[in-house]
Amino acid sequence: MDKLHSLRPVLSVGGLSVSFFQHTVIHNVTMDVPKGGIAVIVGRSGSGKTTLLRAINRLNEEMPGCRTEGQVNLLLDGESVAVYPGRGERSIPVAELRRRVGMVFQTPQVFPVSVYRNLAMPLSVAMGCPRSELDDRVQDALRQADLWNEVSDRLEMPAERLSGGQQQRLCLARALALRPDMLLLDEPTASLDVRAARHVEELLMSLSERLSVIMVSHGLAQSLRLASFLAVMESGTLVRTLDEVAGMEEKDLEKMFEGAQMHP
Amino acid sequence: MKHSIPFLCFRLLTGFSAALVPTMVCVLMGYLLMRGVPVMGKELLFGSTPPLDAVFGRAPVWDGLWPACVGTFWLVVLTMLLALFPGTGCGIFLAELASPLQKKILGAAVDMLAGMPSIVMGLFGFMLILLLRHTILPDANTGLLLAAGCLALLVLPVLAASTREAMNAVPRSLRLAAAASGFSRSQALFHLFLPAAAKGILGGVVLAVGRAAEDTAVILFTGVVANAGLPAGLFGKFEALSFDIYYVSSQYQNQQELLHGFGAAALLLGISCLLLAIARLLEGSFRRKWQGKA
Amino acid sequence: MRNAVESFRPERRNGEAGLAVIHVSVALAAAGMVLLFLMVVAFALPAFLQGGGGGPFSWSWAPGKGEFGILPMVAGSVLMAVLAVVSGWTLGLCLCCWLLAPDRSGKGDVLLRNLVGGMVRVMTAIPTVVYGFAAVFLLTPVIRSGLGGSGFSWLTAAIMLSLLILPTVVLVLQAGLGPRLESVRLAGAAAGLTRLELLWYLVLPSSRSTLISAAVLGFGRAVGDTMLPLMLAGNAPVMPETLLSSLRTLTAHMALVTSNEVGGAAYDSLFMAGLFLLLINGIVSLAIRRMGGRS
Repeated sequence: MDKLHSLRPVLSVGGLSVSFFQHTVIHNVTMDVPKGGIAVIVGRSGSGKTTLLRAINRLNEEMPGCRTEGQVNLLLDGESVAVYPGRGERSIPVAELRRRVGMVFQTPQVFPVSVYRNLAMPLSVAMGCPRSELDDRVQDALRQADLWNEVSDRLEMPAERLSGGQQQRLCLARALALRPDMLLLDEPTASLDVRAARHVEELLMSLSERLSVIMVSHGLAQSLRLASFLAVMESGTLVRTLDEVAGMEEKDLEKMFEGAQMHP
Repeated sequence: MKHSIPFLCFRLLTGFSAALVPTMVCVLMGYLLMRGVPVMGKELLFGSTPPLDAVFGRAPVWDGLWPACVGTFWLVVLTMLLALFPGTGCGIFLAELASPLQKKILGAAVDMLAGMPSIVMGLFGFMLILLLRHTILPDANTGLLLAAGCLALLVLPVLAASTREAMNAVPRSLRLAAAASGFSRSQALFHLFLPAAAKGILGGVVLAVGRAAEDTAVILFTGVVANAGLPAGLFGKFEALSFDIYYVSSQYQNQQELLHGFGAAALLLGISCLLLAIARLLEGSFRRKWQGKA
Repeated sequence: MRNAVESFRPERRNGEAGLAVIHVSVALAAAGMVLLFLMVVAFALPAFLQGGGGGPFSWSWAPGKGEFGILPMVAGSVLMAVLAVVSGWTLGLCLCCWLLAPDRSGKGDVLLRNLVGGMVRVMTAIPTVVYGFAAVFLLTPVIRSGLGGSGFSWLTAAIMLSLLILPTVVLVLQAGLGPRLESVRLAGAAAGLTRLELLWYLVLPSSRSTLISAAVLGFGRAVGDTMLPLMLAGNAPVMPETLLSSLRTLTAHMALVTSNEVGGAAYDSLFMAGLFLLLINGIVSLAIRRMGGRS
């Protein structure tokens, strides 16, 4: 049974196209992401990688003029779920889908409330978590994000007063508090300094042992450091996927962009 | 560089108006304050009645502004009670929930109401009383509650517009983050966006208080009188600061009454400016909070 | 663990109650607005349909003789508003350009402009009745002794009205012209043009709709104001002959009729006046909407 699971892809995308106001942003993307490790989507800015990521938790629909075609299937808790269900397929409410697929953005998006409320509010409001369990789950999530030691005595402080790296880990903790089956990360280290970025990367590596992590990255070096699966996007289409990056170097990856330059 | 004559005239005019307008305003308001401020004091508010007796309503105030201040106060409080929910509700609805068609219709109606002369609101209240007299309530008369109801219509668009703007200023990134955390639309609205926009909305509320306090045309139709004393109740006649000022300007008998008028005008000016300053501060801190966030 | 999670009722606090409150408030507000429009139209309609002599459509207001024409007041309102807009809009436009175009970038200059800009904002908060009060005791004596007449005149009220609408005009223009000036400023500076020259030669000619909507908005405010004409224009129900003659606007007329409680046919003219104001306002806000300006 377990073996069977590990063979099934944790994310499978079929013929996915997304357009905004008739302007196609990603076109006919098909890929299967195997279970385990961190899957990295890499590409230049404007290549559609963020849109692809947001198609997984239907976040594109929050933007005006969006139209999505194709299929996305997720393996959530051992069960395959169609994100864009066709006729007759079991559908999952969009709010529940987003709870079970956590997301962290490029710039830290803390809510304008206290550190504690940042975690507790989604739990109690979106999930209906009983009050008695809140404290434990908040603490648990903060520990997982390696933030507990830094903020345990400042839980009532406005979250905006944390440093950038702390804010991003708080966002990670907020996603983890909902106990998702999958984490989506949109260039989570892009706005952080080197040390804070490394800290987040280490966290992601350890988290990926327990849940599927899909991440959009802006750097080739980072992609090679983290990826167990690599998807390369270019002007809205999927150029290639790699199941193995060990032994590869940045210049090998660069060639895939047809000589085009990427930010290091 | 050679300039055409019209441009030179234009340049002259800009300097001229930049000098003229502030001068006029300063002279007018300076004159008012010069004559009004010296009469400020216990006398102005309470006349010859002991202040404590007046405040607790133990003794009537005959020659002071106290009844007018109390009347304006109750008027504003009732107005805000009546207008707060409909006004902010409209703003939230327009910003978050309305379909494009609803937005168009309700938005047009609110805009139209915003430009409506205040005297039309007063006329509306007056008509309402005439209608009631001819139908179910022969004894109906204008009073405090009616005036507040009409003023509520007057400030409703102020509230709606500022609420809508505050809600629209909530950054898109926060909306995405909320959606990604699994909030449904209404959950995110009530638990995140409304608190985030609260300061902006509050700024609008303060502005609306200012409008309700200063307006004269509406209450002219709906039960203000010059010598009512303290308001007798929800349906009683009342005095108001703004009306007192108008009344003094046309009907004053002696120098002392005139000075009272100046005092009242200076007082109302002070209150209005204070409210504007508070609204600006709130709005400023609301903007600062969201500045630098994509 | 998953089971524990799913045993929570999902979406427990949906905000249903809050949504209901919002919908009820919108319904209340809409009902209030509809009632307002209906009442004003319904009360004015009989008088509107009646016609004939002595009705509201004549040029003579003499309640004693049974003549209740409000056309002089309609003309008075329009004349008053036009004069106020002409001066208020011109002053506002010039002031706005002055605010947008500092010719020296010294510290004192910037401070001065901020000060004047701040004053324009403060002007939005000055109650009209306070304006009126100050003008009764300061401006009317000046007009009376300087130009003759009683001092309570078309001119006096129009001067104060133009001050009243000035902040509206300036703020609308600033919102419209400011960004457009910024967008050409660098290119203009490279060509050696000052901001004021850019405004005059480039920005103003291409901003017709902003200019017009500022004027229309100012007109709407000037027509709708009650206290300034009532306190300053003298209120004679006839057509003015010169700038110094007294006139009566619709709004002042309404205030006078109610306070005198003439009753009967006089009330008809009151309702008619209300309908006129409603219509003028409707046209103004439609025009603004057409031009896509903000109100």
